[in-house]
Amino acid sequence: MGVTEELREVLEARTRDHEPDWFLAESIIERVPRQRRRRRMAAGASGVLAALAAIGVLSLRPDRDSADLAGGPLNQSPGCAALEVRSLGAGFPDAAPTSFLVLLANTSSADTCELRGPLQLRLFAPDELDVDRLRNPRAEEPVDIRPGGVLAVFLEWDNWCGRPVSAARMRIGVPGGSDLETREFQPSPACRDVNFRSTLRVRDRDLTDDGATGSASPSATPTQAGQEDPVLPGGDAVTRLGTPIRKDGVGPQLVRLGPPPAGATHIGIEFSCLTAGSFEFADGSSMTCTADDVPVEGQPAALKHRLPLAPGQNSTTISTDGNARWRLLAAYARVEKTAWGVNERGETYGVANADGTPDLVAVVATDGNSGYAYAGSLEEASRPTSPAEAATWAPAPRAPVPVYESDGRTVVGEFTFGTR
Amino acid sequence: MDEQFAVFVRAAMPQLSKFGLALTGNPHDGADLVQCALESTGRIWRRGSVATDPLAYVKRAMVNAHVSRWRRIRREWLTDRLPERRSAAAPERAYEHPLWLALATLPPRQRAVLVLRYYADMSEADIAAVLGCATGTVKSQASKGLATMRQRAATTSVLDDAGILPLKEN
Repeated sequence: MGVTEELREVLEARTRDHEPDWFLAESIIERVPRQRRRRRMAAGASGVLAALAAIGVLSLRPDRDSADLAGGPLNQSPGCAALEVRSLGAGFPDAAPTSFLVLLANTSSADTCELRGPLQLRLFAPDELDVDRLRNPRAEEPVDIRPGGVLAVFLEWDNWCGRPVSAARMRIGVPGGSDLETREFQPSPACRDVNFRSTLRVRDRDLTDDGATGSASPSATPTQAGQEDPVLPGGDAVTRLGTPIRKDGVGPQLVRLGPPPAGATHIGIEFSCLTAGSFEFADGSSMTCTADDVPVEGQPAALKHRLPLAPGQNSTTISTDGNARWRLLAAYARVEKTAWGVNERGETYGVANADGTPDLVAVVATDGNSGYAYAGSLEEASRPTSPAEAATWAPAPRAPVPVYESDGRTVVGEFTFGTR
Repeated sequence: MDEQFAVFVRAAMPQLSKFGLALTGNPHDGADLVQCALESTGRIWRRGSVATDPLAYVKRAMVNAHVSRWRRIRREWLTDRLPERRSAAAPERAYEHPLWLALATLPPRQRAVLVLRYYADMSEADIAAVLGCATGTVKSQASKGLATMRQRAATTSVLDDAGILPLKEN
C-alpha cells in the first residue's frame, strides 16, 4: 500500500470515532448572537460618542447618562452561571496540586438552578495542555442551587510533567449556562509520575444558600425612591427604586440586591476603587485604578453607571484581582427614554441619544448660560479647516456660535471654538 | 438568523470536529480551531461568501487559522529534554500510528495540504484557492510533505519498535 492510501486510512481511522464537543457547539450558539448584538450596540454607541465628541468643546450639559455604553446583560442563559474563578495556588495543606475556586451562581430570582451534568473544565495555554477532561464522579452528582445561592467548587490540577506553563487559563462551562475563562497566571503543579496523565478534578463543593457570599448591607444613609436629576428632552429619565445597598468588597464578588421591584430595568451603581486594580462590571465595562485614582474619604464615587437588568436577575458582579478592594452603592432603577421637545417652529431640541441628534442641541455657552445651539452650526464650527488642525486638534478661534432658548430665536449666550 | 446559525452549528459540528482533529493532530487544538472559525463565521453570517457555502467558509477559516496560529506561536521547538522512554506500564496511546506521528511533525501548511487532499478529498485547484497560493505550490507542498512523512514514519517505526517515542507530553 502506498503512503497516500495509508495516509487516507489513518486519517479516516483516527477521526472516525471522534466525538464532537456538543458543549462547545451550544456555547458558540449562545455566544455568537450576543457578540453580534454587542458589536452593533458598540457601533451605535460609538456613533453617539463621536457626535458628542464633535461638540464636546462646548461643554455639554451634564446629562451624565446619555453616553452610557450599555452592553448585553450578564447572563443570557437563565439559571446557572459560572461567576468567577479564583486561583488558590498550591494552598491546600495536604496536596501539591494547583487549586482553583470556581463560584457558580444562580442569578434567577425564582427558578432553581439544577446542575444535572458535569462541569466542562479545560486547561489551556498558548501551547496546548494535554489535560484530561473532568472525570471525577463527584462532578456528576446533581445539585440544586436555590435563587441567589452560590456553589463554590474547589478544583485541583495535578501531576503536570510537561513543559513549565507560564500562562495557563481554565475554561469552565456550566450545564445550561454560560462559560468563562480565568484570567490569572497559574503555576504548574508538580510532576508526580510521568506515566500518568495530568488530571483536573473536583476536590470539594460547598453550597451557600444563606446569602453569606458577597452579601450587602443597606446603605448607611438610605435614600427614598424617587426621581433623580432633572432630565433634558431626549435623555434618560432614571427613577431609583427601593433602598440602595452599600457593599465594601475585596476581590471578585457577587452582590445581591434582593428581589427586584416591579418596573426595574437597570441596576444603578456608584463604584469606587479602594486600592489600585482593574475592575469589571456585569455588562463587560471596566475601569482601572492606579493608586492616585483611589478617592479619599468623603470624595464622590469615581464611577456612576447603569447595568441592564436581565429578567429574574437579582444580583450583580464585580470581577477583579483577588486582593483588590472596592466600594459599591447599588440600587434598582427604572430607566425610560424621554422624547425630544419640539418648538413652535417644529424644530426638535434636547440631547443627542441613540436616535441621533436633535436640531437644537443642549449646550452650556462660554459665559455659563445653558441653552441650545443648532447642530448644523456646531458641526460646521467644529470641523477642522486644515489637515494640520485636524492632526493636532487645535482649532483656531472661529466665529461665535449663538446659544438660544429652546425656541431657536432668543439668544442667551454664545461661545467660540478654539478657546475652550 | 440566529436559528439558522444554530441549526448549522449543530449539523456541522461532527464534521468540523473531525476536520479540526485531522488538521491539528489533537482534539483540543481542533476544538479551538472549530470555535474560532465558527465564531468568526457567525459574526458575519449574512454576508455573501458565508451564506453561499458556510461549511466551506468555516473550513477555509480553520485552515487559515491553523497556519497563522502556528506562525504566531512556534516557529521552532526548543527543548533541553531527550525523548522519553516509554514505560512498560503505559497504556497504548491512540495516536501512535507512525504516519499519524509523522504527520504531526510537518509544518502546518504541508499538513493542511495533505489533510485537504487525502482527508477532505479536495482537488489541488480547490486547495490552492483555500490556501491562497498557486496550484504548483500545492503540488510541491504535498510532495515535500509526503517525502518527509515517508522518511519520518520509517524512523518512528524503528524508534517505536525499540520502545522509544518522539518527545510528547504525558
